[in-house]
Amino acid sequence: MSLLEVHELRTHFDTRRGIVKAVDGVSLSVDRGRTLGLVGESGCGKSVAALSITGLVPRPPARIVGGRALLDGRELTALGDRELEDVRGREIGMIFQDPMTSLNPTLTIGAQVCETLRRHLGLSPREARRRAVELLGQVRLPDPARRLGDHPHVLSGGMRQRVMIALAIACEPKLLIADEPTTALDVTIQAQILDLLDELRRLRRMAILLITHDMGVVAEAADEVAVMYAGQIVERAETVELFDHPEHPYTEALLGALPRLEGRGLRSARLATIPGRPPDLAALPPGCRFAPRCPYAGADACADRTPALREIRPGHLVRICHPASERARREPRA
Amino acid sequence: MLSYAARRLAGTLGLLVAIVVVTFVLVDLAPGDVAQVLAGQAGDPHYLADLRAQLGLDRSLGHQIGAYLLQVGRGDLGFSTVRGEPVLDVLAGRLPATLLLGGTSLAIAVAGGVLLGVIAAARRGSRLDAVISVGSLLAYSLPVFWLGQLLVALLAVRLHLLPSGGMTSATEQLGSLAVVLDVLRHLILPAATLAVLLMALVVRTTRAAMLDVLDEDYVMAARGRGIREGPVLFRHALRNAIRPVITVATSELGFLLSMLVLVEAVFSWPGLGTLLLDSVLSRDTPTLVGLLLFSSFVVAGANLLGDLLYMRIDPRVRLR
Amino acid sequence: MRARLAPIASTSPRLLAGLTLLAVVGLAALAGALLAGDPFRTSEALLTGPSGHHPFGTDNLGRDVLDRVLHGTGTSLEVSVLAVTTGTVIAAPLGLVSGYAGGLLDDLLLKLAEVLQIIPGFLLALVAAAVFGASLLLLVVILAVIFFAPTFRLARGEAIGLRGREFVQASRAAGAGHGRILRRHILPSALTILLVNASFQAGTAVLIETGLSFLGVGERDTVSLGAMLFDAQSYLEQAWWMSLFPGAFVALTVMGMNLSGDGLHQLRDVRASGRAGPRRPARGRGPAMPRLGVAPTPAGPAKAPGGDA
Repeated sequence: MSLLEVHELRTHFDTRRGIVKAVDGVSLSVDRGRTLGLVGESGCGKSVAALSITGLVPRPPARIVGGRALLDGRELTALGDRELEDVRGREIGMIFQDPMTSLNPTLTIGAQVCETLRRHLGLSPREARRRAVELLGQVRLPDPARRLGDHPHVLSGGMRQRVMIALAIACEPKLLIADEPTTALDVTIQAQILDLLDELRRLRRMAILLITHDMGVVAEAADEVAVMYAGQIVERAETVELFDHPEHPYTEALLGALPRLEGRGLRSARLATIPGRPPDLAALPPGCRFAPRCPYAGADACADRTPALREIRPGHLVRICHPASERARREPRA
Repeated sequence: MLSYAARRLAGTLGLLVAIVVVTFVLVDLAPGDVAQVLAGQAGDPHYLADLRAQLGLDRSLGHQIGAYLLQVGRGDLGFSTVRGEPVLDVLAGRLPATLLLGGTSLAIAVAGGVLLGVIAAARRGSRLDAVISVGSLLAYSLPVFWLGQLLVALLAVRLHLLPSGGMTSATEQLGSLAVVLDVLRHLILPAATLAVLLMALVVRTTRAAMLDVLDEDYVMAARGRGIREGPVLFRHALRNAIRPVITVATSELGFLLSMLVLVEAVFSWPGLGTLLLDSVLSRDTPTLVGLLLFSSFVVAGANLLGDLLYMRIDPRVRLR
Repeated sequence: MRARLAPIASTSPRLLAGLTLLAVVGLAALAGALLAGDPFRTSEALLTGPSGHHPFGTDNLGRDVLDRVLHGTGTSLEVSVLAVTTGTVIAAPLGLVSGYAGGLLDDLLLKLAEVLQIIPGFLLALVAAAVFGASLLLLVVILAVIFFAPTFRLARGEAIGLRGREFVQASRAAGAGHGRILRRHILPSALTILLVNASFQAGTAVLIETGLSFLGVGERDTVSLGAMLFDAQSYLEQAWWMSLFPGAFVALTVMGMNLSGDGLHQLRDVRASGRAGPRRPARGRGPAMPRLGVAPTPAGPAKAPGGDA
């Protein structure tokens, strides 16, 4: 059994415009010591999925209307607010996108790290301080003992993200959820942060759920990839398999948007060149959600019926009527 | 920091001078003067002239203002002819009562108001939030003197639970503990009346500031680390939302003073508010100007204190 | 009209409640002017409680409290509407133009407003009313002066905010003149917030007017709810009705104004968040409730840089 297992998770938002199906039947799993990349454009529901798992979606307006999330066999989606508070920070560490705004400006670095340590591990103030210095050293913050007394605003963005990582791993969680951990950072710092995360994962056999819109980051850091589109997983496979044999036209487009350069340029790649826009999550098309943008959608059933996620090769799942490997036979007709 | 304080002080001095000038001009524009009040409506003209000369009223307005400012510079607020006492003594005699009433209600209002404001913001959109925000809006709409009258009519007159006015029961000789209890009994109604109004203001300020802060990433991040909701609200969020609340509590002493005038009038509380009203009605200019100067000084001091306090909480704040 | 009212009621019950209260109070004042008896006529029936003949009882001179309450409500409404209209008509256009144009004049006007705002309004009004002898005209003028600064600064801030917005820029680029932009874009966009401001100020005006007459510095020839409460103060033990009814009408009037202001503000926020755009509301732009007799906090000397990237 995997460390994190998510089955058919559905999170809907009640809004003025109607029900927004932000997460609509997402299943995924992450094993110990492995990194799953959850990829998609902004607004596809990947962050909401992560927040639903950890009980952080604001309810209301959000409602988790279906599905389950299990951490080490324990059903997170059945826990109460206070139990979830015990899980967050202790068993699941979280890193957020913008290190500039994710640290409390009125509290010192030391206060924030020690607070977290004392909250979950019941350390004495002195022990917490000692542990905090150690942690900040582990994330390679220079001169950690002196940094404890600093307020966040005197640190650079990269340093702040190191502090955020230290906070996330402070209590040695089994799972780390990193939501766009490098997006707000300079390109050179991005690589350092990804390397740091990778090192911590290997050292502690942590599982990482890496949420990003950047295929370059995925290529660099993920063992497995799940591609999300309009609230659903549309393709899931090992990273190498997915990059070598993408089946979903959306994935192909994401990869096509990557510069063909190997190496450095890879990381800065963004998804930009897919024609059309994702559907309105409050007014989804009746059939395949990708149909309006799909170059292969024709007069078939895919416009009326949502295709199921099917295993096209062992370990490779895809949700589309026209996977790349079956297209050769169909395309001449089109 | 020192230069900041110095500049603030200079600004305050300018304000104080402005208040002196405005008050003198206003009083000068008005028909009649204090000599007339003292001499009575049909005073003997010679006596009136003598009195004016004695009070310096026969000299030019500029001269009067200049002389007064010099005097204030020497730490002397002048002499109240109406009361036959130095103004400083008059103020000192009334200050404790007002400090007691104002301090008590401000403390209650800030403690209760911050708590209710945080709760309303945390439960944004809920029924509880609606009750708290509409309730504070309605409380804010009450004429403070009427609220005081209602409490008197109900709790003092009808139920005989509390005294209806004054600060002490002057009828009997009491031991020191009994005096304290007696003053406290007299304090309850006026302090409650004032606190309701002030609290309404604090609730609304706190709620609005908290709503802004609760959307911040660091609040989500703190929740993401499993920090309990209590500390998330009161440690992480409130620390960042407290600035407008401190501002309200310190800079709105002018509001407090206006309310004090009204509440002290309802409860015959022997404080600065009744003194202000009396000195306005009796044309006691030295006391009136002294009172306005003193309260502006307190307001300015409180503002400075508020800024320094805030700087301690948020290190990003730079004073310019 | 009905079709437009329904959604307002559902999104902002406060606005509906406020407008309803104002309608009731307004009708009461109208009834006072047209139907009620002479509020100064004394009778033998001193300090009699509420009855069929005198629904709100009579006061210490045997005057009918209901008649006086209706007239007094009219006085309050009159003063507050006149004062707020005067203040807004002067301060709002000046603020919009000043903020839109900027420059030296803008700096000077802002300084003036800041100085004006320092003076505690209620105390100023108290001193002036006592010194000059109270008259309704004087009261209106003083209130308009008190309201000038906050309204000016609000309008100015709105204009500065709107000046940089895309639709204004686009209009500029399309060759529209400054006058046209002010009339067609800036004024309509700022109108709601100015209305919110005005309705809070109207509430404050009623409180100041009644507060001054309660202290005995109001005009004695007009019926004022505050003066009625002043009279009631001496008879709290015998005649609760002398306090209850006039005070309730002050409270209802002010509540109507504050609820309308608050509801309108809510409605504006809902509309704003319904549109596409940044979800987080712009900070510190809404009008704070104008506070009785107070200098609403100026921008504040202490400043936090918004993230020091």
